[in-house]
Formats: sequence, structure tokens, C-alpha cells
Amino acid sequence: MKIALVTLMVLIFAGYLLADTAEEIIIKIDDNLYSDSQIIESRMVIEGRRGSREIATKSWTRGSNDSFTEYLSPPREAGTKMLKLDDKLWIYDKNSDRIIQMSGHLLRQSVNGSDLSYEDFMDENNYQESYIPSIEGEEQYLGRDCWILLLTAKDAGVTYFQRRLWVAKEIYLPIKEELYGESGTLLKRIELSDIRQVKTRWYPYKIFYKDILNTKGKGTTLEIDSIDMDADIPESVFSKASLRK
Amino acid sequence: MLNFILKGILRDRSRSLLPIILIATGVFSTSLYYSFIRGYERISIDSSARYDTGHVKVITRAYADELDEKPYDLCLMEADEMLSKLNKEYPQLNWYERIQFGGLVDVPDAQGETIVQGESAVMAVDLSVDSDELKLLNLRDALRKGKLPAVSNEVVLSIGLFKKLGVDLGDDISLITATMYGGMAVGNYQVTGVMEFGIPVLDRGMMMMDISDARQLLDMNDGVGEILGIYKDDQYHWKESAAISEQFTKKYSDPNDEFSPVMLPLHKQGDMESMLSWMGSAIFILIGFFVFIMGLVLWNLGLINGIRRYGEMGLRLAIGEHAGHIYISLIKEAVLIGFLGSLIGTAGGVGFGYWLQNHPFDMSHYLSNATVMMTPDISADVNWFSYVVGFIPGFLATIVGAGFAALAVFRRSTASLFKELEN
Repeated sequence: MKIALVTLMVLIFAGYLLADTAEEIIIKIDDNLYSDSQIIESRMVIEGRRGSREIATKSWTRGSNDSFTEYLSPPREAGTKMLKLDDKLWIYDKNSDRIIQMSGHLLRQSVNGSDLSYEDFMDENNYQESYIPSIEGEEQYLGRDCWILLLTAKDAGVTYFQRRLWVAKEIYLPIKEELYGESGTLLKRIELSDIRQVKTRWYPYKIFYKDILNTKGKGTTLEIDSIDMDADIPESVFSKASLRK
Repeated sequence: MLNFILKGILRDRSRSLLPIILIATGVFSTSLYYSFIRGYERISIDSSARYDTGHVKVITRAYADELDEKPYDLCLMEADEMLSKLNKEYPQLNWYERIQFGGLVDVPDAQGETIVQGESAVMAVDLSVDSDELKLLNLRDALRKGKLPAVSNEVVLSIGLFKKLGVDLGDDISLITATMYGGMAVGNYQVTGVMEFGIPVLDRGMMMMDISDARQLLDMNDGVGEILGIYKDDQYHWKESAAISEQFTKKYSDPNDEFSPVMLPLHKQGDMESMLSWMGSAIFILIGFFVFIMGLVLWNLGLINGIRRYGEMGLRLAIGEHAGHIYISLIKEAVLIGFLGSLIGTAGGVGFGYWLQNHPFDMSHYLSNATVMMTPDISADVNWFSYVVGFIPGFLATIVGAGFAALAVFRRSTASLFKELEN
């Protein structure tokens, strides 16, 4: 009886030692989602009130600060380019041949009528850098065992003050996310699906965004066609000169 | 008898002067206030119709639900076809296509780098040389500098935006906005003129461009935000506009299609209905208040007058005049005083009203932060009702006031009259 009791206590203690902490979980999530560099080709399907539109893009990303995106289609949008360097964002519009720096309220505007804002686009910092995590609980979501993580912003400069993540335990990847403002209002809902293994990482190939405050639209789906993690990207891509090329 | 009373009123000024001044002041204020409110109402309707609401407006059902936001992404398509239908079926109105949207104006330097940015509300209308919009929006008079856009990709700026951006005529600017489908839209334009409408909400930050340029920018081929209908006689026909709006909506609108058209009369747009009904109520509230206050004041004046003429009443009763006769004579006095006071007040109110009608006063100082679409030159609007709106209540209030006060005659005792007179 004594042996059984001691064994049970050892197992509980070992389980406690082996259990992931909230900090460890978001480190593993970041390891899945972020790489030193990546090239992604994707299609954004925007479900609006007048029907759906599809915009194809190719993005080059370096770390969590720099990215370059080129619109590939439809024809009216093709050739538009976006460059993000640290906290600055420029857009090149080929129709007007202008490079516009996005700032102020423009950053809160929707990207191409989608459920993503330019601020969302800018917000590429990984979770560890911006948030303090805590585990709220556990539940099954879409047949997967999940942790429910509440992430609270470390400082006021972050776009979303809180995030609630449903993290699939076996792959350390959120499959659902809710984004909240400082007042506690739910602003956006994100669902991540079609999860595939890319090299050593797990990555969602389909991400559905819903801007809760935008009652007009029915949501935006980002479908990834190809992803090249840790790709070799020339330095020249991340320069303003590349916008007009 | 009337002659006798009139002489009494004119010779004994202490009996009549104060009541006449009071009545005249009240009647003057009421008549002038009524004319002013009517003028304000006319100018509100006229400005609103020209610059914003039309006398009627055709938009989509979805657009109507968010009318204040001017959601051009919910615009009406096949606008040309709709316009020809409207011209054919409602020839009593002129029809105008408008697109209103917001954007960010970006001023570049020679290298194309941003110097300054500013938010702008854009009004896109038909700016062709023979367009009726030029007259409707008073564009030629509003032009302070430069010229109206003559070719594609030319714009005029409001004086506020022009100053804020620090641009000059001939400068190139970019307008950043979104297409009707939400895509980013950037257009390059040349500033050709500066406008000043005298309407703060327009003068603060408006850009005006030709509607064909807006369609190109917003990817809105054959689409239109709003089609405004303005009666050819420039008058707002409240009942008719409501009737044709209902008829149009019944004929063309499909409750299951949010992009089918509806027609809204002016008074059903935004806060116009509540504002217009408030103006109507304000006049009647004023008249009621005036009658009540004047009645009360005149009653009290009558009572004071009764005390002052206490001896006279006693004497008249003592020498055999009936109390009823004295009461009637006091009412007749009131009729004359009321008539004179109301006549003077009406003459003053209507006269000043006519002066205000021809000499509008500039309220721009008070409207500088206003969001209403209204010219700041407020004038009165005198009509037949201006003549009676103060006169009748003033006249009646005097009689009612005197009627109550004169009741004291019936309670006047003559038993100690001579003792009173000795004192």
C-alpha cells in the first residue's frame, strides 16, 4: 500500500515537472509559426456582400520585422507591393506610380476589403515578444485536445490587448484564436485549419479571419499555396527600391 | 361708447401704455420668431436638398440602412438605366448622380515622397461645362481661386483643405481610398481651384471631382452612390415626395434584394424628420407659451389697474351703473388695447421680418463647428401666417386677462365708498 502511494505521488510530481507551462507553450507555438525567413504564395478569398473576390499574393518575410508582399492578381491589383520594415509600412500602387507610407488611421483600414487591417499585417511579432501568457483551462475543440491560453499584452503598443488561443496539444499550434481590445470587446476571430507538416514545423494552410465589428462581410480566408521556410532571400528585397521594380 | 373708451385710453396713459407696450413686445417677438423659424426651415431644406439629401433620393436598400455613412460599396449599379427611367417617370424633378466617399489626400514632393497627408470627404458630381450641378451647387460663385475641373484627373479643394495641405494651384496630389470592392485605390490629381461654400462642414475638408473620375478610381463602372431628385420649381413638396417615394419603392424595390433601389423623401433621411417636426412644434409651443404668459401678465396688470381704479369703479357703481356694464366697458377697453398693441407688434415683427428676409445675417461664427449641411446666411421668411401668428394670441390674451381681472367689479362693495373717497 505504501509503495503504491509513493509511486502515485512520484507519478504526480513527475507529471507536474513534465507539464508544459504557458511560457513553454507559446515558445513552441512561435517555433511552429515563425522562422528566420519564409516565402509564401497565398490566395486571400474575401466574402463580401456583393460576392467573393480572390487576391493572390507572394510574400517574403525576414524575422518578425521585415516583409515584402507583391499582389499577383486580379489584374487591377496585380503589381501593387507592400514593404514593411520594422514599424513602417509603404505601399506602391502601380496605377498611380506612387509609394505611400501608411500611417495613422490608414493602418486601421481594411486590406483590400478583407477582414484584416494593415495593423494586422504589421503585427508580425511573435507571441513571446508581445504577450504574457497564462493557461485558462483545457477543452476539446474540433476533436483535438486543446489548452486555452490567455495572452495579455506586455505594453500598450500592441494591436490586440488580449488574445485567447485554443492550442492543439499534440502539435503546439493554435487552431482557434479570439482577439480582444483593451475594453475586453471581441474584435476578431481566427480559425486555423488544413494543418500540414513543413520540415520540422506544423503550419496552417488555411486561415479564416472574421472581423466581428464588420457586420457587412462574411469573413476572409487565407489559403496558402506554397511555403518555403528558412528560404534564402536577397537583402535587396527589403528595400524601398524594390517597390518600383 | 367706443369713442369714449378710446379717448379714456389715449388720455389716461397710465391705463394703457404699459399693457400696449407689453402686448406689442410679445406680438413682435412671436411674429419675428415665426418668420425666423420659417426662414431657417426653408434654408435647411434648400441647403440639405442641394448638397446632401435631394428632395428625394434613390439608393439601394443596403445603402439606405447605413445612409449616414455614405457606404458607396453598397452603391446602385446600372445607374444610366435607372436615370433614364427616373427622367421618364418623374419629369417634375431634375435628377443628379452623386458619389460621396472619404479618402486620404497625400501631397508628394518631387521624388514622390509624402510631404503631408490630410483626410478628406470627396463629393463626385457631373462637372461638365453644361451640367446643371454647377448651378445647383452654386459652384461658380463658390470658386475662390483657379477654375473648375475641365478635364479628367482635375480636382478642386475646399478652402480649409487647401490651407491645411499647404498646396497651390497646379500642384499634384494623390487620393488614397478603397474601391467599391474594398481594394486599395490611389489616384493622382491636379488641383485646379479652391472652393468656399460658406457651409462649414463642406469648407473644412472637402474635395470635389468629376463623377467619371470617381467611377474610375472606385472601380465603380456604371455605379452611383445616390441619385438625387430636385423639384424643378425648387420647392419641397412634402406630400408629393412622400407619395412618389412610396410608389417608386413599391414598383422597383425587392425586399429580398438588398441592392434593389428605394426612394427616400428628404424628410425621411437622417435627422431631417425630427428637425422639421421640431420646427413645427416650436412655433406652436411658442404661441401657447406666449398666450399663457401674456394672459397671466395682463390679468395681473388688470388686477393692479383695478386697485388703481378702485375708487372709480366704486363711484360708477354708486351712481347707478350696473356691474355688468362696467365689466363690458373694461372688456371693450381691453379689446382696444389688445388691438392697438397687437397691431403695433405685428407691424414691427413683420417689418423687421421683411428686413431680415432681404438682409440675411451671417451665422458662420456660431456654425463653425456645426455638422449640418446649411448655409450660414440665415434669413427670415415672412408669409401670411406671420401677420396673424402674434396678432391673434396677443389680442385674445389681452381680452382673457382683462376678463379675469375685471371680475373684481362684481365683488366691489360701495358701503364705505364715501369714507374711502374722504381718505
